[in-house]
Amino acid sequence: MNNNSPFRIFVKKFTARKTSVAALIYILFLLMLVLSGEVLAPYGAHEFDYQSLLQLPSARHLFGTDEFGRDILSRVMVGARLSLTVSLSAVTFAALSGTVLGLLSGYFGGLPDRIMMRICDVMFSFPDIILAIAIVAILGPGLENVLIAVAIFGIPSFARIMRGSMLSLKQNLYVEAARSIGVKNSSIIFKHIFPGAFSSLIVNYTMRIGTAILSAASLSFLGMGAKPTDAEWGAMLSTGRDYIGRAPHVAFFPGLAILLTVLAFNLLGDGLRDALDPKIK
Amino acid sequence: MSKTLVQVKDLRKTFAVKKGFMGKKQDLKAVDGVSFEIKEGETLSLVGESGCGKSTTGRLILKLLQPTSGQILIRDEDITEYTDNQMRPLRRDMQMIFQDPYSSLNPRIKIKDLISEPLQVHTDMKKEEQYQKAAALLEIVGLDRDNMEKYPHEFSGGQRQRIGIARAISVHPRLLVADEPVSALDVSIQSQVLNLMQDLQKEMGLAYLFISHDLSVVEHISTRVCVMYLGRIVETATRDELYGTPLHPYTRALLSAVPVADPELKKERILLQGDIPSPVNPPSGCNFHTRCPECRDICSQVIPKTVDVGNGHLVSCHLYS
Amino acid sequence: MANTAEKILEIKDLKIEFVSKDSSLTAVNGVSFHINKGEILGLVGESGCGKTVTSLAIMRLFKDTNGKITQGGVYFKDQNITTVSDREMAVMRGEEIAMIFQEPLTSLNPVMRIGDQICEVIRKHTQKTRSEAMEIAKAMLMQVGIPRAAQVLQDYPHQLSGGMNQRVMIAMAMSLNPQLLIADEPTTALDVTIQAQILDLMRRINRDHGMSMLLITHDLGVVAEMCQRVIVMYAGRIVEQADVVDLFKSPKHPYSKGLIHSVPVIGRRADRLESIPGNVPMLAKMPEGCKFAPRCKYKMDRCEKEEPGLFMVDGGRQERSCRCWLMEEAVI
Repeated sequence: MNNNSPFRIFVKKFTARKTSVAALIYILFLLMLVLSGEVLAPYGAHEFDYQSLLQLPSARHLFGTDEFGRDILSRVMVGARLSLTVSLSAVTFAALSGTVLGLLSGYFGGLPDRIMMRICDVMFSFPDIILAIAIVAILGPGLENVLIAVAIFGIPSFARIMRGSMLSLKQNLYVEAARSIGVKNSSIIFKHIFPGAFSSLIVNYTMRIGTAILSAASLSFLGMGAKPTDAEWGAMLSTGRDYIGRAPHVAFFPGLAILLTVLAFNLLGDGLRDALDPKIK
Repeated sequence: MSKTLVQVKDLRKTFAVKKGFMGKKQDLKAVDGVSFEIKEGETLSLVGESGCGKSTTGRLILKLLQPTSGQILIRDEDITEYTDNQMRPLRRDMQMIFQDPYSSLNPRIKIKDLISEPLQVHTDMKKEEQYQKAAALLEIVGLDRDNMEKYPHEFSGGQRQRIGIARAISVHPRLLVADEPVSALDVSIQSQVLNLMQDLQKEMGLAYLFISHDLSVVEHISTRVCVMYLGRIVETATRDELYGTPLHPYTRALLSAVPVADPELKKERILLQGDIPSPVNPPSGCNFHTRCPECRDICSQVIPKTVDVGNGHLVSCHLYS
Repeated sequence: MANTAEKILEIKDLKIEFVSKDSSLTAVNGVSFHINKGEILGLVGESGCGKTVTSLAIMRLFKDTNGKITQGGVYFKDQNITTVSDREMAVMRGEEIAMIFQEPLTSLNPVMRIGDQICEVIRKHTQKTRSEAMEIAKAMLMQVGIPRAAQVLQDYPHQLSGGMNQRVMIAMAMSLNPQLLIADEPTTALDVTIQAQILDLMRRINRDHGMSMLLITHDLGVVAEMCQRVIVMYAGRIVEQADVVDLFKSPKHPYSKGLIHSVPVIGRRADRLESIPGNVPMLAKMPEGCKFAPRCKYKMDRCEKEEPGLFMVDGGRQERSCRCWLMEEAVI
């Protein structure tokens, strides 16, 4: 393998930063939880145990139990699956649609480009949460609709970023060279220009996952997403609110999970951005 | 008798520019009525200083820019209004090499793919065949075969320019538009690349449209030369005639301004006064009149016609019409 | 005419290194030359030869880089300026030695008017009042051939063309009447007809004010027209030093030969240009022995092992030297 390949250089730069590597390890661990299903959880997520209500963390229940005696550790692990599947699906959809829209809009310009940008401007002027609430209000509560809401309001950010990358990369002489050779527009966009925009895409992707997790949890917290009995971090945080005084662990652990996960994705995004930036050694 | 490959008739390209934040739109006449022809196998040079429109003209001929008016004919086929799709099959015969070797090669693509891209677009060759041809092309331009897997940043400026040339000749074009191909290179590398271009021309019967500001290089490599100023051609002649008996006052001033690498050469220096006017606001009539040592009244009022003074030597100057 | 007896600048055995955490790269090694009062000395070389680094060393403009003078010295009128204090050097810059660069737009402050910039220079070094300084600025602009001097004083750099900006740079450089002007590729970014104007101006200043000049360029034509003596640099070393006529008529060093014969000259027709094969070596991978050996067609075994010294060559119109083993045998 060529020692000078851009990939090798990227790996070297990324691994030099400990926070990024730590974040990556944490995320890989979460992904493993997601893929292994409920196998690793010590208890069932819906396993009631009326003998051990609101127990503080102990050897039997590492994170304690909630108001129905359910093991919080198991519920947090299952919650990881819910949070990650919702956010990954939503952001992937937003990334795909937004990228195509942004690239095409930036490349061809003209009236369609201007219209699309105005639509994005309108969507940007709303805070994410308000938009999500509006969409869920129209579609009705439930995690599936939260997924749709997060997917839709994620599109403008990808469209904007990819359009911006397109506008600057389009100026490169090698793009003009490709045109002079007779390369088709589709090849120019996806073979010559997109790889240059890829790093912006990846960075935004990881950042938006953090946003998506937060949005989904917030909507569930407000009672518009997951049902209160679902093992979803936001829902757990919401019900845990009632017990903050005498059993703070019920809210603490799901809250901590949200914090760590969003933080990890942000740190990963930072690390990726710096490792991909050719100006940073 | 060489056949005519390219014919350009009264070609014009105007850009609309906005001056300042709230300014009104103004017309920038980058190319203002340019006519010439290029014959098979010859090198026609477009020479001039900044703002003369030579690079824009090169791009118009390849339809990388759409002309505002005028005609471009490739072997008698009028391509002026051709769309991208109509141009595509013709591009096999007309390729370009660029001024900046550092940005004309996509940094993320390997050399083997960069060179074989024209083959992919214009031929049915399989990938393996394409790569074999690419390796052969590398050797033709004087680089080693085992550079195929490398990326552009691993090469020097001169080497990158050779790679660009290898890419351009891969589909055996009839015309190569070379936009300042050696200006960004060190002096000792310039001669390597120029020698290569001359060798390729002999072997492949290539025609060059050589765009440059460097009169010494242009004299060395050209068959015929067009001198441009602010979007117009002021003089066209064979290389020997242009450098031997330059007629237009601008050509004379330009030639006398070039520093010659011979300390004992005594030269009559014609020093022009003032700066090159902006193409947004060109002078009236003959647009050189503001700096011309031979300026007369008529020069500021009437655009001079192009006159043939014999042997295909064309001049646009009231001194000769 | 040059007063050959008086040296205005002398560089002795200069070594400049770029020091970083893990390594140090030698950009310039063992460079020695002098400039006579009133002469224009050309410093010629291609990219990476060390000519710009040398000029920055003279002016001690290394503060923002990790370049250091690790050996040798720079002597201005017999005073060692490598060791003077920063404050003394700041005084010298402008009053004794001035410098102009290739890109006037990056050397001039884009948010200050031309007049203010020149005044700032004058008032930093003298006790003049603002209006006195403006008068001097106006006079300087007229001297460099800017007719609408009063108007230009009020302009910003972006409102002027490249040629005008370079004239402004020269005016600013001359405003304190320095004895030495260092010009680093002053006309490379300019159009040919404008270049001719600027070079003419510089020749006039040299003739009328007796200002000595160090002209750094890669353009052999400019060297032939402007300079009396020439130094050719390659890979951080001086490879040849000669009178300009001698250098072009009979270059001694293989690199000089290759360079001079690879440049097309108007009026001189050649079927093919000579070219120097290969590339300039990278700083981090300098070859042993003579740095030019890998590309040299006269290479001998000795050249790859030992780096030649700078040998004196007889018979030149002025003092002549060449760093090549072929010159070791004394020429009588």
